[in-house]
Amino acid sequence: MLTAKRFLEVAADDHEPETDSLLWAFAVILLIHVSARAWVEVDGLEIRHWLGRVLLPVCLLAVVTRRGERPALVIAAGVLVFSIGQTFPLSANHLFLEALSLLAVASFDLRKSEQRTVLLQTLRWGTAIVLFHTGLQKILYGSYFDGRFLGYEIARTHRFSQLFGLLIPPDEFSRLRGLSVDSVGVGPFSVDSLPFLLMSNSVYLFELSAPFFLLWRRTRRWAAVAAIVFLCSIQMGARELMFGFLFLNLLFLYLPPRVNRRAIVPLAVVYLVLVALSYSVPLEFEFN
Amino acid sequence: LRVRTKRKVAVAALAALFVWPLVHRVLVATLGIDPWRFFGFAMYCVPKPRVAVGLYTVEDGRRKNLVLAEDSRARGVIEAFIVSREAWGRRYRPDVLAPPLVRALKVDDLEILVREHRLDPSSARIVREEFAYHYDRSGRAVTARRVEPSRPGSIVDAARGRAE
Repeated sequence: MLTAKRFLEVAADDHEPETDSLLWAFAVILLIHVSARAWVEVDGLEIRHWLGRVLLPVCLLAVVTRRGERPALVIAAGVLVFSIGQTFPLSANHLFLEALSLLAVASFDLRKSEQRTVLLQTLRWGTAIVLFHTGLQKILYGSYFDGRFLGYEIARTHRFSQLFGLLIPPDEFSRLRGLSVDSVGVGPFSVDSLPFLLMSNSVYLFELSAPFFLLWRRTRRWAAVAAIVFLCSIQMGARELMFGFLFLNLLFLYLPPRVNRRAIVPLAVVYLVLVALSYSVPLEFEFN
Repeated sequence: LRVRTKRKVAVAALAALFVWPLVHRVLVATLGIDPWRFFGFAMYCVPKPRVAVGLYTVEDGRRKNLVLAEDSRARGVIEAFIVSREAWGRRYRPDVLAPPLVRALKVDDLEILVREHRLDPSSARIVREEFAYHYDRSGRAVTARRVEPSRPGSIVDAARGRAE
């Protein structure tokens, strides 16, 4: 019989990793992430913005110093849940994912080894499920088979046209760029280019298959590295940096603890730069 | 809570996480909710919903398109409706808009035409669907139906010119 324990253990390691270090670094990066996002929303003047700007960095400090770690995580999760309540139904999907991740971390006692193990397995399973569904949804909507969604995005925004321009013959590319997405009857947005179609179909194929390789112990690390490379390439088009960093942090959970621990300082610097830039110059990406 | 209980709660939460996107897909198909919202992981699957609203009345036996001033309160109310309609889908009707609009526009008969743009699955082209909601002079709903998309005129289109 498949018990909860056996189910979760699919995401376990052969040898118990340093879960304390791994999960602490995960929580720190997650709190740096949500704190930075609270600050990059330059125009936000509502109470949820100020709660985020003030409370989340304090929670971050508590987790970094490991003083009042659990109450800090509970408060941070509460701030995000409040923010979702305030913005619903327009809350971004990554806000839910951040809140769920924080709720998960806050629900376990990080001082106890057995609880950390369950938390790590839960977070790994959650990440695999999210990745799997991003691929499954693309199949259910059927908009990647003939490249029509990416074709639409090429017509709509230069971000995608810059990225995919090399995969499409010049005349087809010009046709797509000339389509006005505001006009009725315009199209078709489907693309007749083999390299482009291979790329479009490989997106959901990767998203569907990667979770299995992430959960299979023998391929876990390489799958995590491949998923990070995939995530970076997606961000070249989508440029939704905040979602990218959030998922990067989740993918770190499949790698040895030293990886995310060492990533804390460089990521903190990147986030600081992004916050500083958001107050100074218009940027070519979205804080989404 | 004991670890054993937490394990069960975690598995239940993961099961919900697995099932919800499938339910979400059904809700998108049946109610037209925004695929990009509600945690369904369907971002970058289809274009974001695009709703515009046109207002009409009957004057001297002829159908007339009502034009709103750029800075009018009515336009602000309609733009807020558009945002909600894009998120909640077809079940979100403009019924709450009608009474204040009928009063503000001083008309005896109001038709709120909701236009939805989407990428057609069969032709891969942009198509438009229109839903007409009729209200009497008290703002009470009379009819609501899907109509053939053919009528030009002034519309409130919050998405046009919206920053990326």
